[in-house]
Amino acid sequence: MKEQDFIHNIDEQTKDLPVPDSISPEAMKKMLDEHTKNNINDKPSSDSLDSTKNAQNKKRHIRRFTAAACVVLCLAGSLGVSRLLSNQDITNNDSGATADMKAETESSTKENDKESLEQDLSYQTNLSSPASYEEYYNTIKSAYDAYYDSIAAVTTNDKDIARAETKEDFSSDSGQTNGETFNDAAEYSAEDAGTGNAKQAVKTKKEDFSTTNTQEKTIDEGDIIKTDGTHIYKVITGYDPEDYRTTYRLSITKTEQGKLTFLTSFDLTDAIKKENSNDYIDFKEFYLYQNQLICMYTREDYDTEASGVTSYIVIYDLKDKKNPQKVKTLSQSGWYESSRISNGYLYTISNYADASLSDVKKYKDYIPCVNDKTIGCGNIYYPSDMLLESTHVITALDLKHPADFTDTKAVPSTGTQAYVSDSAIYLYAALYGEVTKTEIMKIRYDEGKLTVGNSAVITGNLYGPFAINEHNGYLRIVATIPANNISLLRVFATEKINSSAAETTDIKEDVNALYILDDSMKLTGKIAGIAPGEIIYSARFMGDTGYFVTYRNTDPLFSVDLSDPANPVILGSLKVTGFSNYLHFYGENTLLGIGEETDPKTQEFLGIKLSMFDISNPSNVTEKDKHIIKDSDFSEALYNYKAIMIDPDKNIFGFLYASSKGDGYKYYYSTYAYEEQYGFIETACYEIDESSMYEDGSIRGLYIGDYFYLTTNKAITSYKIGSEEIISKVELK
Amino acid sequence: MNEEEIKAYVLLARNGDTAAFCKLYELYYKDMYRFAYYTLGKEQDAEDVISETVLDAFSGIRNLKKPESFKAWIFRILSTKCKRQMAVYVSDRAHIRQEISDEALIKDDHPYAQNLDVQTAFSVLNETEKTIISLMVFAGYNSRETAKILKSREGTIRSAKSRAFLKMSQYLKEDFA
Repeated sequence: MKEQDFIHNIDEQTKDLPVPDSISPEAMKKMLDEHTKNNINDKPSSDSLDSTKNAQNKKRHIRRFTAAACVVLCLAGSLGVSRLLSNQDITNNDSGATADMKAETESSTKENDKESLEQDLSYQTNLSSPASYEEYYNTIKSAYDAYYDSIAAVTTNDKDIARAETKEDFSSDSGQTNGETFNDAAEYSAEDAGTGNAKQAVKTKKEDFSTTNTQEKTIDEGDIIKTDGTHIYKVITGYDPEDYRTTYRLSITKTEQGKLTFLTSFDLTDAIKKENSNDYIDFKEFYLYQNQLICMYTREDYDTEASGVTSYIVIYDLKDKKNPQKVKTLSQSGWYESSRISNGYLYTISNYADASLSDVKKYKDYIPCVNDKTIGCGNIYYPSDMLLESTHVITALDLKHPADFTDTKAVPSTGTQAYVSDSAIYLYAALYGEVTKTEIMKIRYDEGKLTVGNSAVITGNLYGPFAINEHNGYLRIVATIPANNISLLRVFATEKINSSAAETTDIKEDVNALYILDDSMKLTGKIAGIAPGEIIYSARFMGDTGYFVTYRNTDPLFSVDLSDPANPVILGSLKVTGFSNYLHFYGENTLLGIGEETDPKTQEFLGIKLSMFDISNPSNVTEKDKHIIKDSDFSEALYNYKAIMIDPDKNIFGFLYASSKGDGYKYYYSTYAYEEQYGFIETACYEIDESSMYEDGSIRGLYIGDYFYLTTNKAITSYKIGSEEIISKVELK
Repeated sequence: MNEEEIKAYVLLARNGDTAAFCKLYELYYKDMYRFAYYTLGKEQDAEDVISETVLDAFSGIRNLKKPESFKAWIFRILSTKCKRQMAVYVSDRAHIRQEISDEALIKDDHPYAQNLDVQTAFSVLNETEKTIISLMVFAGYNSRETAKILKSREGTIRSAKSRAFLKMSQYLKEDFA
């Protein structure tokens, strides 16, 4: 039988499979509506639905799909997604942490005694490197073999025992340490001082043009649009229907006092050589650094045996703006995850999951490469959980001398998100289990050298990129510990509210916590039990003070004194209607919030809201002004901080949103200023033309001097800041 | 629904529009259910993973960078969830097979009686094979697309597919072809 017929026959035979009503689109809509109404739209637990039936599932730490989609390991041609062999000490902590948390939901309490601190945090320092590739191969392979033996041999009841045993096997297998030392505090502060004199990564002097809105002022992030003050570099995307792929071109447009001249555009994916026709090249983002264009890519290759997924860094010289020249291409195994430019060095993180353990001699099958050379043993670290952690390749590149990477590490990590401070890279990811936790790994950097540090696991998950921040060597984190109520949602959906399922469901409240970790990732202080029943929507840290927003019916903006890392103190909370999704320090004593206004009684969404908070006295924060954008609903600014143009020094910010305020439902880009005596002022509002409406991910604004430039996927239009009168317009092609 | 419409619904869903999301879901849910039912072999678990997939997809739709690839994306979430569930079954595989044949003997009027052959054939596959075959049959992907969804190599997918067909053919009726 031909395979195609086979597929067809199975399809025919199974086509009429009756679909249960409980998963009909109507039932699902009901479930989602309940879900939205209950404001647990942040992070639903991925736990099993039926607690009695699938008790086994509950023990597993599983990652959310965003992470899970990236961790389908292809080791030995087998699967390995579920966290069956999870970190035992985390599991053991679950019950303690849960009890701890319940007790604390009554009121906010500070936990200072060491024992209870330990309960909320486990950390590991025992990462070791293999002595040879063969040793690495054998260790990982035997871990896999042990895993399959264990699941084949035991009955359900013995599973827990098997897990414990397998775990021990692992540690004895990987027990050879190579004397990797971790920097002590003294060395760490020396690093800190070293970076202190050279914080010019983003802006050296006060230059009068927009920069990418980044997490940290001194650390640049890649984006789809950049300017150097004279030219606008913008990625334009298209679709190639023959190849089923998105096309990426980089356009360069000259700006002169608002006058625009389109210089050139070129296909970004041309820079990566296609090894065969089935290669899929995906452009990710780019940087501008001293007349160089640095472009980040992932290439997926499924046809050749040698390689799988590879990330590329391509550097173009921009001396001749009409004709950028490719000067350097570098590569590292795995798909591109994130990068930063700090102090003249580019740090790039990729995720390698293509290892195949078929032949010990084929090093390139299981050892990640940089520039097509396998990474040396001294820079590879054994995972603590052989089966699940994917390998992250982290490289450092001196952008003044980009001949080769200055350092490379291959570290095991579940982390799929990165936060980069001015001295360290933190990889983090949520671990979903009975209680949601977040694992954070620290990798220090200094002048292109990388040092793998400790990892920590905290209870709760991070709402987004601003929930984590480092200051003077201390890492501050706000986290939400979500209630386990997915089973409740299902009950709503199937209308079995009075059934026994509802009674057996363990319904807890969402609750929040703040943690402070020292430079070796040990917990020094925490505040637990913050705002029971609410979840964190936004956060921002500045120096010794932190601000974060939780929400249920109203928006309490909390201010926290972090000056004593062992004893963080909540100074105050301001309740206003709605909530802020994004916070930005705006001037000396004011904090801007961009978020959503809601009706405090019905939680009905009323529009996008701007708030200006007076933070001159953190113990008594007040809302000085608010502005609600009429009939607005959607804005990329609410979830992508890079989509916000903002410069408090110039008193300008702007973003795209959708609204039916005018003639029909349209997209608009508004620019704002804030004046003490008048409050928020909408300085200009630009209507986005119909054809660009669904290109919302590519509509960005920026300013250079006195001019504002609105860019879409198709064109750039210039205006005098605060004016809606078009000065110049060019098509991008 | 054409690509532009899918894009539009994804944008609405990103904005919290559950109705728009369910429009998209409606396009694929029957295939999603077939996928889950035949990979897991249990009706209740199939329903559970679909609900979980819907919740995660709805909450995470803001992370979907290319709205036009909604289908591949939601199937990737679903296949990940099914794999997790299958890992729980691994040690009980013999037990599952037993359960199915008992059912077949007792209930001739079982609503899925005609599908039992297929189900038995599925039950002899390992997890990877089940996922691959399901993606190809129920979601209609070819080897290359399946490889992309599973972040695997096309060659691996092709050989696993051939192996799976060989195994399955022994359990399917003579007149199947």
